[in-house]
Amino acid sequence: MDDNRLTEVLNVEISQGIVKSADDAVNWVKGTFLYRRIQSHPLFYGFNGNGDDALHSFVLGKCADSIDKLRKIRAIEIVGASDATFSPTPGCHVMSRNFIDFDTMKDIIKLPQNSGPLQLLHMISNCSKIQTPVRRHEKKALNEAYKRIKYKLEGCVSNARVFDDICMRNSNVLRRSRHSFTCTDHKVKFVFRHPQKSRL
Amino acid sequence: MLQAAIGRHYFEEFALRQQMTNIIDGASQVLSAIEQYAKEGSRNGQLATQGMLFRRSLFSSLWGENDGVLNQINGVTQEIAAQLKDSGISTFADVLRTSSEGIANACHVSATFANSLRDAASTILQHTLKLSASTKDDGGEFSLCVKLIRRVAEPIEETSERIVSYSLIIFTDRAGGLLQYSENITKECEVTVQCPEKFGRA
Repeated sequence: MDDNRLTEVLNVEISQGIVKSADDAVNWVKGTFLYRRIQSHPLFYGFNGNGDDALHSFVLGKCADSIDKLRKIRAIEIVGASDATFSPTPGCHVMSRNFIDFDTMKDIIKLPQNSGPLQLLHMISNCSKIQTPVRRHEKKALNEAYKRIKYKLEGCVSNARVFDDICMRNSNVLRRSRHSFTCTDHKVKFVFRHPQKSRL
Repeated sequence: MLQAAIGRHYFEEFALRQQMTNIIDGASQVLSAIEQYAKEGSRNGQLATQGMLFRRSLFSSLWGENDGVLNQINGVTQEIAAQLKDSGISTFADVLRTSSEGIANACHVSATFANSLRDAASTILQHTLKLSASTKDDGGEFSLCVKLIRRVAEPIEETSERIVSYSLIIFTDRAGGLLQYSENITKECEVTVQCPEKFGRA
């Protein structure tokens, strides 16, 4: 299970005022399709126990993790002396309003106070949301564009490999067909080279 | 891709142009979030300003004033802007100072286009605002008074269309130092903000 996805969904509910405590979060998850999926495919979601109590504890654990993640990025704040209830902060609303994923929000919060255009450019470029794979035949055109840009990259483009791997992996898992032969060929090579990575 | 978009680089391949559009959309969304978080959450004026300038760069295809301002006008391409700059025409005031024939000769365009360029520059300059700021001492407590007034004194015809709009951001360089954030200012106005404690002291 992608824990960040649960964090993002819970963040939206917290922002709307639906979820105000960990118990609320569990009750909310119990009304979702995810809860049914955990019951029908427990091992896929990492649930090994038996019975409703064990399932409740498992979901509570997942929700508590997500809430802790949101607390760490200051998207929520604890209300009162007990840690039972929390309230959304402006960060929570910004994340929910702009459909910002958890990792990107973490990067936004980490931005230094005296950030300039270069820092913003680096931060945005690292967002998985806007990254797209580079196909082999596109390299020439992109290299031409690179000669004319203002801020050049320092050193070699090491992240390109990682990024390409991520895209290919997702594409394979989702069984998404690529119209370009180059991409399909690339995907096959990737799965052959990294059989472990190609499974979720 | 982002930088290529700001530099108005044209890709021959359709897929790359499509990717560029998607990347600009995604980047605008993230920049909006940065701006909103700086405004509502961290109260970081520097970050709010940089986010807004970056977003403006994406829409105007300009990194800043040094890259020229004329290509914000419809029909003025990167090439025309470069030719005008070579002839010493780089600001709206320069356009008004130069005759239509001079503009037409400088960038090899028709006299009609040169005339419309002068009209556009004139309208923009008419709507330009000028900023002045002063501090007031109210018995030890300082307040900052910011005035935005028209650069051109003569009355102008008010249109529903926003030709020039301003954002006013007042901040100190300390953490949480955002004092004022106003957007879409099109008319003369006056803003007074309370200065923070120990204002002007190290």
